[in-house]
Amino acid sequence: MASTACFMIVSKNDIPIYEAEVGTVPKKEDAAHQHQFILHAALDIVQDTAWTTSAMFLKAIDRFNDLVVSVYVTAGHILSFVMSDFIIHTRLMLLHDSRNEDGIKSFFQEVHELYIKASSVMFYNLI
Amino acid sequence: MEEYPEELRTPPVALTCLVGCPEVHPLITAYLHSQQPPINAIALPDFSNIPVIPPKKSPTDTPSAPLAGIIKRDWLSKHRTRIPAVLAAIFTSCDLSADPAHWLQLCSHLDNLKASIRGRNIKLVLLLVTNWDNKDDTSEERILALRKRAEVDLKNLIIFVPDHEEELQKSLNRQVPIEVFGLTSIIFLKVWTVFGELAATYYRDEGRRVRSRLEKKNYTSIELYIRYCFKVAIYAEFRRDWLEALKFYEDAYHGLREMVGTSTRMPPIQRLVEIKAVAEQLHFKMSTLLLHGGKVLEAIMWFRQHTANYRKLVGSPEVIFLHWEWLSRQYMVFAQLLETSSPNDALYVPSTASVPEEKPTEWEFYPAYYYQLAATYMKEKNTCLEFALSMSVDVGPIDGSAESVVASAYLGQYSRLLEHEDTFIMQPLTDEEYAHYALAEGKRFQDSFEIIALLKKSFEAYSSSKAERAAAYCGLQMAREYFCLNDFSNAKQMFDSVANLYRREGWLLSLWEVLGYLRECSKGMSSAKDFIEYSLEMASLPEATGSVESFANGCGPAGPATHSEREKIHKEAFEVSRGELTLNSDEQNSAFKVNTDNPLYLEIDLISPLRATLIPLVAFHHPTVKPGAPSLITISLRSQLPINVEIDQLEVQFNQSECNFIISNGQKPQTGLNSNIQPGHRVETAPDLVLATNKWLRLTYEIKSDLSGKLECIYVIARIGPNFTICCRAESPASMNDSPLWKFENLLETIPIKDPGLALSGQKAIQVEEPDPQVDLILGSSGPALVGESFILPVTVSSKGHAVHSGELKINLVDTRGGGLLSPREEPFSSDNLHVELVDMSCDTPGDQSEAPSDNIQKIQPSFGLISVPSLGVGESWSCKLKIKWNRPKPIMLYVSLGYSPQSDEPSLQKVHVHKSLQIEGKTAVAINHWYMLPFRQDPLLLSKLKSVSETDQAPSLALNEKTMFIISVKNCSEVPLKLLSMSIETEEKSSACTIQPQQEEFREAVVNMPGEEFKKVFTIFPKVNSSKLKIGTVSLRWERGEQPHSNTNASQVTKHRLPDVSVELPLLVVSSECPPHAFLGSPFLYSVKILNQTEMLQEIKCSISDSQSFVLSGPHSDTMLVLPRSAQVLAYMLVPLGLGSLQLPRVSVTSVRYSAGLQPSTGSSLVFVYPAKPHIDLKPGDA
Repeated sequence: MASTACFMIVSKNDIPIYEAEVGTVPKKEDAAHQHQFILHAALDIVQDTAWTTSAMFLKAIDRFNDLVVSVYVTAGHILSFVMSDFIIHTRLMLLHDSRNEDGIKSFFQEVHELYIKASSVMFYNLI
Repeated sequence: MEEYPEELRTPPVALTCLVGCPEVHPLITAYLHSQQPPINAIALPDFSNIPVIPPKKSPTDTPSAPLAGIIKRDWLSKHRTRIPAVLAAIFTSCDLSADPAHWLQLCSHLDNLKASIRGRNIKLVLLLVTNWDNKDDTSEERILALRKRAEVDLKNLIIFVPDHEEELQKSLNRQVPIEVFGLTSIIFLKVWTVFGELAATYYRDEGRRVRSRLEKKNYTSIELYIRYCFKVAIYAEFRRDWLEALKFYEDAYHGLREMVGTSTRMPPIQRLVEIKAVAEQLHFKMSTLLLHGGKVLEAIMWFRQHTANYRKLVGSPEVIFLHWEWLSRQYMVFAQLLETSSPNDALYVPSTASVPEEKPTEWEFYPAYYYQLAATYMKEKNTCLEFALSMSVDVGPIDGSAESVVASAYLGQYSRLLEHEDTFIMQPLTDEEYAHYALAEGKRFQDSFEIIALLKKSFEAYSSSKAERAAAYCGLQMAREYFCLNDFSNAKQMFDSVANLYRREGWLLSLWEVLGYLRECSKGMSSAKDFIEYSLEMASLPEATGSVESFANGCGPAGPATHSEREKIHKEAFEVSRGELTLNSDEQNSAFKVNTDNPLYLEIDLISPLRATLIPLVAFHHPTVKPGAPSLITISLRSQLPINVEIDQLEVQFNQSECNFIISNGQKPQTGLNSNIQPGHRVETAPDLVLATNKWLRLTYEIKSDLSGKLECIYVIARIGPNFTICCRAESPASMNDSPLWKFENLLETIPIKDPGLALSGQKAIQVEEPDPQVDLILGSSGPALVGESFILPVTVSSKGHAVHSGELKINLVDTRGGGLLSPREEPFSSDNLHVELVDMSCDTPGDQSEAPSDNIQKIQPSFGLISVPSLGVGESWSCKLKIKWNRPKPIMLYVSLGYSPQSDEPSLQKVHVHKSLQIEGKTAVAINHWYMLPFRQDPLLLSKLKSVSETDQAPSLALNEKTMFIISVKNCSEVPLKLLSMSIETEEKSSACTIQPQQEEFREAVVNMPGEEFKKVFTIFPKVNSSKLKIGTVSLRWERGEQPHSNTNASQVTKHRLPDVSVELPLLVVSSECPPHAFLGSPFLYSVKILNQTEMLQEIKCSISDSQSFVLSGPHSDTMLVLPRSAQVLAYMLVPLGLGSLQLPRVSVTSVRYSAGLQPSTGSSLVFVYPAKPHIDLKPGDA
């Protein structure tokens, strides 16, 4: 079954630093626009919720018809001591229509790991 | 929600019917209405109105005929307004006591009434209205007969006495003490209770009857099942049994779900429309019950399930818009319910919904979320409708056949109304006819305004809950709607605010989309400036990842965010700016062309989104420069536009306009641009001025400024073509901020200036220094200042290379420790508490200066002074003297600054400053001390000395009428020799109190007191008055510096020292001893001790003398004697010295018995020098 998924990494200043359509549905430009709009609107709710829970994985935090927004918020207060500043409070956001929670969670964890590796390389400055 | 009928929106209320006796109707209906729960009433004035109640259909109609629909459209309304649960027949007592004919008529009325409700379970109640007067007159038999005829129980017969207070008063006195109104209320209450009970019974029975059919599965089709469930639920609602109502609504809803796809009763389109209409009604009822019961979570989960169930059921493609309309309505109604419902505790609804697996998101609790989705689906409907309209060609604006289509008897069904021989016949529609009708209906309405209204609600709600991003998405949708309506100004306003957010947060695709709309809006509004600005911003945006050109369909007006699209926009913008392309607005039929009359001027400031289009960095190569010396300046320009841009002319503007210069493009003719060149301004020519994408164009030139101060580059103005100007605010490389959009782009980063240090720290401003001063400022210092003197400090201004014009000398006195020059207690400002003050400034007026003194500005304050310096030529000098006075010892810092202009013609601009400072110590010159001494070998007995009080705080005591000596010592504390000129004692009291010798002494020759030396002077004092506090006076010492540094005429200073008060008392006894100053070995001499008694009493004196080895003595060795008042007694001893040299005389001790005071003469006073023999020198008497 074809699935829609749009993945974004949003930095601590709410600026998107990576975007990818990772679904199996054929690409459509207007859908990409639409996905950005939905993910951007979901940032409000992420902002509120991220401070009320200690969980990093916020599943189905917002929904738009069949599309669901799941978010993985990196732990800023821990990483800030050991990592450079730009890893703090980065949000990995996924707009998806599948309900495979475990798969999404492990996807996030994998991306998070890679992201830390990439951004911890010396002289590789994202900001 | 407003489009739903009233009976659906409000909870069902039991219905009664009042027949006959219309005068009591208002009373009863008003009362029934006001109670909780209320009861509605149909009031029929006359028994002839009974046919209003619809007769019960014969049950034989239903089983054989196929079911035409699920729920009858008017069933609920019928039960709410026309079929009562209770029928109250109202008679008056007069009716009962009337003649037989009247009675018979009454009976026939009653029979008719019974006949009309036959077949229905409607409860009958008899209400007998009577007056208090003839209450007992009513015949019991007639009442019984009436009751039997009506076949009602006794409890359902109510005697109603609505009036007569007097009788009620009486009844009050003999019965329970209740008020008049209270009794009436009791009667009303009875009516309400009976009605309520009977109504509840009615609805329960009806519900039970229908439910039994369900339980026995006595139904032939699923439609009947749904209908029965619906009816049971409604009857339960009449009884306020919310739990049962909810359960049966749910059952009906589930039944309906089963029906989808299985029912073949109607054509498929209409079948689905009917099912959805019923589902909508059932869901509305459930949501209302849940929300009013405070079960918001359950309601949300139900709603989510409801929409999930039906979202995919889009139905036939030609009427797909009906589905979206229906879905949109679901969201809108739920939003309204969520907005208006307040949890009601009284309406307890137990939870029946299962615990949701997925919790609702935060937004699902807000109506705004549903309004937004309602608008989204409404938009979908609109799109589908337009598509459907475009596909069907035969939907005329006015279609007779469509007009005659009406809603049929069943909910969600439509049929054609045909007139046939004065009767109307309902004819079922085919799906084609229905689709035709739906299209025609859809065409009549304008959805855009509704969409905007919904989005506006959502936008406001999100904004008020500070969810600006969610609000922005609503704003965007709203703006798109305005755009579709060609309402460009509203659309632009909304798009602009949304674009700001996306721009700030760097959401590229979203921004691209919005800018595309904005570009079209400005085109529609014929605003070339906006059009160019948005176009340039779009063209300068980074390329979005993964944008592929082939997916251009369905994008906004901007198209896909690809490189080729950016190039296209870029070209279009520059064509418009060159005037090659006219900006046409199709809607407004206006055109705009950039030409000489309509030039284009863009401004790019530090926060403009167009910084990516053109950013100018200006860096001076040095932080400071001497006036007139050349300095290098580099102007770096960068553009992110996709195609190279050639600039015709660059103008660099500074805060000093004479430094402005123009750089012209050597490759291009400067036609039409020469008007910008001001005469006298510098023009440079660059080989070319082409801006390539993301490459710095670096231009370095020399610049000179003759004016000291800050030279700052303000603007860099680029001219492209004769009519297009971009004015950019210059930026420093050190403070350049990156655009958030370009922050993460994977592009080659180059530095704006070749020198990396300058690229990081370059500044767009340079400090042009002051010219070096060529004037000396000399402060003549002469060591420390002394307190009290007016310290003279010469200040000399001598010109070495500059002439001095408009010179000003500023003098500041500052405490070296940072404090003020005032004393710590500095409340009032007066010269008394100033420690140091600038007293005067005197300047030498050159003899040849004829300037009026008024030109000389001179201001003096205690710590500040300002004096104007006259114009001096090169080599001339001028000096002035500052007079500073120290009132207390304090070190100060003296700052002197001279400001002057070397040229006389422009005095205000070019001032040169010279600063000098000097620390000056202020020291005390002299320290004056004093002490008292008694006369030699004379000891007065003072009573105050006998008292054993501490001597520290006691004033020194002096003997009255006895001479006392006091010594003034003057110590030089300064570092310079001082000349003491005179010393005097100024007495304060009248001269008879005491005599001081000498009063004043002018030293014939000034006493030179070297640093650290002490000078002493002896005075005698003879107190004449007995006083405990005698003010002696003040010592005044006049002195001057030993070496006069500057020939001051009046340089002597006076230092004063106030002598402390003394106490003067009469001595009781005065003991004085007498002996020659020297003696000779073996030669006897007289040693006498005289005791003078000054009291009025006899004094007993004990005296003794100690033996001494050096002397042989004769006289009383130890004795007691009496001294008479005011007389003296003398003890005389003859001594023969036996030794040589300075010998101690035998010690005489005198003791006054009365005062227990003894006198031991001091060792110093009892020494005598013994010579071996009489010397051969001539000794004058008294030389000892």
